[in-house]
Amino acid sequence: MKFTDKLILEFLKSSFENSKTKINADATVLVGEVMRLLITEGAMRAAHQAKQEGSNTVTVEHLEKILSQLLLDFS
Amino acid sequence: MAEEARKEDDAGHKQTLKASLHYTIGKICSEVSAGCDLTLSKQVMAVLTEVASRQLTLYAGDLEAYASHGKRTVINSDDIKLLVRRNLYLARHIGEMVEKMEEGRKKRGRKRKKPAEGKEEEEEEEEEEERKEEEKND
Repeated sequence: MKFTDKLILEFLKSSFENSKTKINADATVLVGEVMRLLITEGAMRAAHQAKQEGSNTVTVEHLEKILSQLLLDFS
Repeated sequence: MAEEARKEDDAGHKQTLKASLHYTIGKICSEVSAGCDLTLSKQVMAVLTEVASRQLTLYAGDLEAYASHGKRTVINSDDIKLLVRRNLYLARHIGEMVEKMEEGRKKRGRKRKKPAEGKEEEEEEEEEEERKEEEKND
């Protein structure tokens, strides 16, 4: 599963400060890929954390512990 | 007043986009949880949505700055490469994707340029004409 190009395009457009800024199709696909990796990686790391703590459900506490490193890796 | 209305409209639009993000993130999370036999709580998905939304906003600002630094108004794949340059693996992955895209375009370009053979024929004709002219000169 991945983010649709249209969604990424609309989101970026709404965040641009200059209304003249545009983005080409390839770049949109690439941003979509980076976002897919961010979410997959976040979910996986949180799941790994939950497993290490012997828990069956992944909670925000698990996510909290991996979030800082995740954001550093994707900045 | 009009500006306030626009701001409210913008906020509504952003909310819709976030809802769309949340939908896809839900799907990705269910894939992950199916893969490792764990259940992800709904709050985790909500936080991930918030993270994704903020990260996308950050990326938008960065990409805009990169493009304008390159004196362009259109963001292209080089700007994305610049965006992920710090993470070695991410940079490598994106680089490979860019290469694949370029290869695909070249192949498509070659297919579209089938009339290129016609061009060669034209060149051959030109050569023949040149030869004839040379013969005349002789």
